[in-house]
Amino acid sequence: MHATQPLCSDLFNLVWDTLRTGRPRLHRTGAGLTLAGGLLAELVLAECLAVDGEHLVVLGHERPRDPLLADMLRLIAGECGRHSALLTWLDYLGREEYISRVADRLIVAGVIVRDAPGRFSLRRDVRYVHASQQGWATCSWPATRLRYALRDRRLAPGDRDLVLAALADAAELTTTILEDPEERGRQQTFLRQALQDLPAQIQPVVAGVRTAIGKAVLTHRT
Amino acid sequence: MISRSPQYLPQADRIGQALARNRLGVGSVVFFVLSAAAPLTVVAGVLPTGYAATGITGLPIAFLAVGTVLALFAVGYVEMARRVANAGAFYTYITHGLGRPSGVAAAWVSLLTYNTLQVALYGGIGAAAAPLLADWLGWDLPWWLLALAMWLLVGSLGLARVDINGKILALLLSGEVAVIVLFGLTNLAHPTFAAGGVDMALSALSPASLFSPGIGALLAIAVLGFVGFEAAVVYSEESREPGRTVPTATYISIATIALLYGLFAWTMQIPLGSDAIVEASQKHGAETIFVMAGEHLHPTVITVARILFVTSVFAAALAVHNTTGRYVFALGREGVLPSIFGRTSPRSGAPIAGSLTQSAIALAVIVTFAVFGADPVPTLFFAGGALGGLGILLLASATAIAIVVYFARRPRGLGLVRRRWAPTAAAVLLLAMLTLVLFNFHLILGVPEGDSLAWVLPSMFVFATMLGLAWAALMRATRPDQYQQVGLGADADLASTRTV
Repeated sequence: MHATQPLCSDLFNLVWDTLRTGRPRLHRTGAGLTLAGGLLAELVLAECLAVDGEHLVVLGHERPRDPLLADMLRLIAGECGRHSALLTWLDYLGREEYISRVADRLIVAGVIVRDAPGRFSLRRDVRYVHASQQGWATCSWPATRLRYALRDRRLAPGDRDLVLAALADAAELTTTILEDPEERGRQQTFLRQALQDLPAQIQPVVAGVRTAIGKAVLTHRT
Repeated sequence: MISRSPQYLPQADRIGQALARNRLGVGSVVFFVLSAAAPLTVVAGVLPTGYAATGITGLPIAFLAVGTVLALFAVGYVEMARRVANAGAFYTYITHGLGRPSGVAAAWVSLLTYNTLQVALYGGIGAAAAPLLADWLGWDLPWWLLALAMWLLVGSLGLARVDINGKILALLLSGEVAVIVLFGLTNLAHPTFAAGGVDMALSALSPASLFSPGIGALLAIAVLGFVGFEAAVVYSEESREPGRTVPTATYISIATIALLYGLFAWTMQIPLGSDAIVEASQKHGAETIFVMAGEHLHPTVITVARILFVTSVFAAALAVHNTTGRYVFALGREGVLPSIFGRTSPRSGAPIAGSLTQSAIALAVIVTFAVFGADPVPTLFFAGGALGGLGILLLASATAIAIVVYFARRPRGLGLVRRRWAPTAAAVLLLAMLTLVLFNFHLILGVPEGDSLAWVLPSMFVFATMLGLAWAALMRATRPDQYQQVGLGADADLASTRTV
């Protein structure tokens, strides 16, 4: 059995190759922006936050139980008088600090470990790998789940995995999930159809991630 | 609508401060522009070929004149950057000013222009690298083999989304500018007084020399030298102070290019005299500046300069390849091109389809020129580059008109000079330049006046425009939703959810 992980933790295991290399499957900017989208999506799904046009709106003062989300919501509520643009927040939450905090949730749950470069190491990047056999199973589960869902055409409008698939697709990670080249075309077609039913409140977040990554490509920041 | 948490009382703008650390300053933006401009490629490759092909010595004043016109154009251009989020500077602004059909047409012209500019650089690598290989290894390789080697390297690095490391590029760029300044000072230190050489050279700086027959050819060459100045606005959303960084960087880039190339083109005339520089350029081609400097400087300096010429051509080819790939990516994202062009490699962020398409076009052109045995420097490098310069001039002219129209509809918050007079004057001058270039394009190609080639090549832009207009009409009829997103680039996705 796999303990249910928060949306962004599942997304982390899609974005990061925690099974083998410990490195992100996306370029660093894209990885940060995708995880930032995941965090905002968690707040939107918890009905603490909405996106109106291209701007964030805090919906209430009820604090999410998760400390990272609670902290984020407090920050957004305090700053959104000055900064409410979705793209600004994706940029801000896509920074290394928040990538690290998303990883911390999985580290605390005993799923992954952080492999920081040593003082004399030539390597500069922080890597994240599964912590144990059980951790390996948890890390591989989101991709496996999506793979089966796409194979069996099971992604209903209310599924949280539809949001996960949408964010992975915005980051162009679909080909990583769809391993079978013969089935890829058919499954991508199904995914396109399924994404039409993405909840309306999540659509701007997914579009924001895709836009932010596109802008990073255009300005040579990938 | 926005609720504020009572517990949280921000004292400083920590979001703005945190994001500003990664933003670009004026220096970084100027650096991006100049690195794509590849100064030594222009100075060693374009200037001597320009003297040789046209036989006209007014090149220095042409750079200064074009620089002045582009500075005038930049007044409205940078104002647009403050108002319009930008995917590919020219066609985005044309879309916002003149409408989507014109925007799609401009996108097609842009694709043709940037592909032409990139492919032209393969014609220069032979001239740049062959003397070094002959010197060091005694090899006498055909130009196309060197071009194919560069093609393979550029294509591979483009797919891997590898830009030359910023620090290395800064070093190379500094080296190129240092060589240009050193060679220029060397020329100044060795004037010829025979046959009134210095007086003739001084007269080349006179505005009167602009009114010589064939001035259109000089203007096309000068515009080619400024290619890349338009890129500064692409960084407007990434700049530390969008209202100041991009305008300052644009003006500095234009001034630097105008002075560097204009003054160096002038100093080339000092040691030989105005007439003799044409003969020397015809005799030595892309070797001219090295031969001239070699008479006074140590051979090691000349070797270093030659190496920098090679790296300059390579860096320019890679930079324009990546820029072209991104243009294709933006058009793929907004639906002007098939969606596969809007996809990137997850690992590197490289626009795969755009990069491969650009490489395929380049390969076809290299093979065609090799099969027909054309001399690559005057044909592919120079004429191809000038054709790309003509495309830039066409796009800048259309953009200038678009700026006038855009601000006529949205006059608020901007003075008359910035929104009307400067853009109008720039549009008139750019259109005049465009007309002159078209009438003198035969000089660039080295064909007699009235030769059909001088009209056929520029007609490619007319063809691209017509195709673009037809494509826009087809999009409007068959994909109206995507048609609404034309000109939005990467913003197309977010814009499509605005009604949600």
